[in-house]
Amino acid sequence: MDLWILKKKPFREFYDIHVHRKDAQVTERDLEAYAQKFKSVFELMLAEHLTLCCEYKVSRQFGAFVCFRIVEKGSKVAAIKRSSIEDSTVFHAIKQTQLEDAYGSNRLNELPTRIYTSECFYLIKSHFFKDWTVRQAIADANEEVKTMIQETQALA
Amino acid sequence: MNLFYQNIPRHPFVVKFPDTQTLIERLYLAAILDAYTRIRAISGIVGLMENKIRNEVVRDFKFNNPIIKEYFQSKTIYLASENQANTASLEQRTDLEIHSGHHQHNFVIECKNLTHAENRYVQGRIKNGEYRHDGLEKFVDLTYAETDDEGAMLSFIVNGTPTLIVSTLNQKVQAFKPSSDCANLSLQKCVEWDLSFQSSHICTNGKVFRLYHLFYDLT
Repeated sequence: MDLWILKKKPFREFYDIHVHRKDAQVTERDLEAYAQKFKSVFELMLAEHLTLCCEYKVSRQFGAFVCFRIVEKGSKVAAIKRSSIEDSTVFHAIKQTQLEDAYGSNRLNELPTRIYTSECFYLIKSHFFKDWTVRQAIADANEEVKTMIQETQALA
Repeated sequence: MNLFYQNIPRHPFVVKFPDTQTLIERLYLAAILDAYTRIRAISGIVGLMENKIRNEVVRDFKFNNPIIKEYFQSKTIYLASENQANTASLEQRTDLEIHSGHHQHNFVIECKNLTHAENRYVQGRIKNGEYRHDGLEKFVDLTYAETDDEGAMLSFIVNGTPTLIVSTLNQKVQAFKPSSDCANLSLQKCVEWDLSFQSSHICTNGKVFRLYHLFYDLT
């Protein structure tokens, strides 16, 4: 029975992406579920004195984004909340990286993007539901763990 | 340089398991010991064959074990049981393999049913005129874990006196191709589990291989 419950979730998500919510836009509820799963998977490999805080938002300008910060446990920062970050702030962060690439190709691609600042990192993707599923959160979090380990050279 | 990760407070580490020994002891061995009470509580467990008890351990790891199940379900760490293992021989396949891609680390666990301090725990025997490797010999002769430096043996004691079986096996293990620190390790428990000890051996290719020996008392 456990196995069936475990397998049912990907099946249901596949059905949602391709049938039930095909081409649907992401909702804030989807983003909250995404952030929750991302946080739980990422924290499996994060040192116990640290925690991941997430903010999410569907932007009017460019898809949707989540913003993550790593803080000490016990800090008075909400674990997961709707973001009040202005679109212009995120756009400025995007500009630093994507527009530089666009000068070369003369084309601004709308691709999933990770942007790192000294305070936080952004994950910016389309406003479609298919990019913000729980399965996608698991894959993205594992990818980010890999980056964390490479960047901090944390393993002996 | 990624400014974000450079600014994370370290006390002293950013990741939960900064080296493979921590990964083994705080995650893998802790999960094995956590599973014990649930495995022991299974009705009729003592009458099951080794593979069926091992399958119960796999089921526990994947679905019930609060220490490790999330790692498997989120594919942060992978678990392969015997029928999925990829080894040189289809007849000599590892019982359990845990793989952490982030640590680039593989951990093989060999399972055994025991009714007494059987020699097959340590090495093989001649069967139908042919020598069959068995027990920890499979690690030492590189049938298992050729590229790894550590592994474990998880035994299910289904009859006899567990403390006597463990101490007798400890003596037999220490005499089988020991490395220089094998005697010291023989005094060390695995994460303070009473029915356990450690050992290290010199493999056929000269490398030193460390083994964690854990026992479930299912009598």
